[in-house]
Amino acid sequence: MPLKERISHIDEVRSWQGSIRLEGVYTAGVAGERWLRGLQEGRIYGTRCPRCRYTYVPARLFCERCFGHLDEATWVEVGPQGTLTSWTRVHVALDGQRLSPPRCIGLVRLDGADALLVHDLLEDGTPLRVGLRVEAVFRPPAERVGSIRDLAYFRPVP
Amino acid sequence: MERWVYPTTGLKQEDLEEARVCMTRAPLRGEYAWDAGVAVGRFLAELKAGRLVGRRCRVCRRVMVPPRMFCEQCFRPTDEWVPLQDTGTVLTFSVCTVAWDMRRLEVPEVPAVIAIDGASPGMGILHKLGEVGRTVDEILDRVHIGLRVQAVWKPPRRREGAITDILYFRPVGA
Amino acid sequence: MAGRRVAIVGAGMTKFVRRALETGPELAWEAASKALESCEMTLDQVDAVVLGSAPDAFDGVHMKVEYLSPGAGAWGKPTIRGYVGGGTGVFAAIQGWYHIASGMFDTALVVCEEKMSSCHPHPQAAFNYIFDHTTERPLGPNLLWIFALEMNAYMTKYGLTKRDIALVAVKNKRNAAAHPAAQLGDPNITVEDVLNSEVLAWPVQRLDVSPVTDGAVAVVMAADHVARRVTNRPVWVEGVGWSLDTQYWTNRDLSYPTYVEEAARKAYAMAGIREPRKEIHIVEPYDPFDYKELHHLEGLLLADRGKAAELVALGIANRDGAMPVTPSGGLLGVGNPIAAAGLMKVAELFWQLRGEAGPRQVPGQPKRGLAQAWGDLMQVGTVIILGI
Repeated sequence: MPLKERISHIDEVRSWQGSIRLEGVYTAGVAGERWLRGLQEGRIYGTRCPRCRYTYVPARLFCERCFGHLDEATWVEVGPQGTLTSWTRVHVALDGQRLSPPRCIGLVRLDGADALLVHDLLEDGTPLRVGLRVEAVFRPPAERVGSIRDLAYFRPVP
Repeated sequence: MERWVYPTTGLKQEDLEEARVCMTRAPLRGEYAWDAGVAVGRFLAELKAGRLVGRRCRVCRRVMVPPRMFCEQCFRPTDEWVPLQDTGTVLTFSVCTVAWDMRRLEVPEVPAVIAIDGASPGMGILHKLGEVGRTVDEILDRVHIGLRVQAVWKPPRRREGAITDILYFRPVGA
Repeated sequence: MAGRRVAIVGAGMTKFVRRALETGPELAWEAASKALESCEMTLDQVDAVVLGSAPDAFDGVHMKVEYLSPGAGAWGKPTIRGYVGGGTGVFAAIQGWYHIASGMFDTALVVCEEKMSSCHPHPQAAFNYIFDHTTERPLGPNLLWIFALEMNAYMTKYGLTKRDIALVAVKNKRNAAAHPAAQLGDPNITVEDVLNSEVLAWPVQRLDVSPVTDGAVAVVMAADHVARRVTNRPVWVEGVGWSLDTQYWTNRDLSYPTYVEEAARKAYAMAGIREPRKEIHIVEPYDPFDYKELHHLEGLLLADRGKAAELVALGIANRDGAMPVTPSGGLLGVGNPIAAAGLMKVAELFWQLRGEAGPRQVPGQPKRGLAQAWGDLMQVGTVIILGI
């Protein structure tokens, strides 16, 4: 049974505008807090599940495969070098505007890790390819605050 | 059962304010334009003209407001527009002293569900009451469930086809 | 009884706190791993995962189930998220039941999580977006309005006083003092404290309202043959029911929750209960605000309309009364991480019926309990009846 009245002319269309105004304030979590403090010291940690032999980066509190607690003993330092497993060059921003220069993003398996870490990738003229060796570059110590941005970017190993 | 309660790490407000723990702040901003649709679109157009309208279902005979193009009980299209009065009865009300973000309001707001005359019994809309006082006690003195109220409209040229074209409802005879 | 018999065999939870350092997935894991540990099960014995969480806006993460899933043990498993606002916690247990009753799975891990502290300027702000965007939001509503409007309609219809209702907050916050996970337990709170607390949206005052909470709760459910292997005290699901009222909330009689009655009648019929007031030994009705507990007791047909307050005033609803109501301490006392709060009520029945509730234990070896939650735009009732 169709509706008995329809909008037949575009002038009759009405809309109401509004916005959602909220702010998320996210804590890093038990494992995340310690992981970010590591970045602040210029070190990248992972947690290695002894049962599943899988190393999570960023470090996690628990292993999602076996549900085991990843305690103090499971923290291992990984990197700072690693292997590029994929990369992309982004030409548009979130709002659809062209990005100039484009931004390069890499997916990196740090040495000693199983999980992949996504971050900015510095283009220094080296041709990018899967399998390229890359290394982490940190911000100067005074600028670090305990954030994923304390790691400035990855760059090809010279 | 105490064994099965995990000793979760509680933080204090100061831990965040003084950045004792790592935090990421990010706005969750979204801008939307919602289609009013057929029934509410007409409802808004009528508000602009200073009128309230409802919609009748011939099967259950309810006159519904806010209007809808379908009857959710009979699950069929509604049949016709029904002009309503701009008077009504307070079904329930509150005296609210805080805003949506929990900041204190200087003058309390008085949200109410108002059954509109001409619609079926109990058919209310959400709106606010005005001219009923400036403090909780004053308002509670003057407002009660069952109070008869009347819409106070914006001047015609300031209306925009919105629920806020009615500024508020005030007691009849006030 | 429809389908296969299903039991709850394990339960765990986090402490309920105002703000947790833990992320959402970490909270989920803390509760879920405790629940598995409580019945000596491991993740590989879990066939399916049911996740419950209220609006994404609290955690500030869309695809919240996918976000939470590692902590809920969902890696490589059939996983579902149910969502009926505040009704979610009890509904998640109902979903766990039908996953197993249907014969599709033998076990299910049911996890509910909420991290409300992420939401600024105040978690209440997230609720702005449940109101109609065109006919209501331009009026600048807030969540307290709908509770206050409903409470006023209820009080006025039955001539109840603020004092009658404040007794619920006192009872529940005192009960919560004996709950090891409680955020707001207070053994010394008085009616005067409630009546003198700050007015937020008359008739609602500060202490009429449950707090903002971070937390998670999990239960393990299993089919008959697994349940008996896992534990010698399975707690059986005897009845479930749920129902939704119209979204046009301003067209309803707010003084009575018809949808709760509809849900309860379904659950009673399934459990073969004819006289709920005699056959239900413990009640955990949803109590985000004190008057809601009374409203829901009436909808559950456990009190006559307008008379639930007498159960509290006469002590019948006390932990050692004839019909204990919210012995856990409820949302008002233990805390209100929305979806997790509903599942906390289910977990409370599990512990109470097994005689494991410690200082909160209801005397007299209760055999059957009912948990109920409520939510969406004041329109959903979800009910589960458990028995041992």
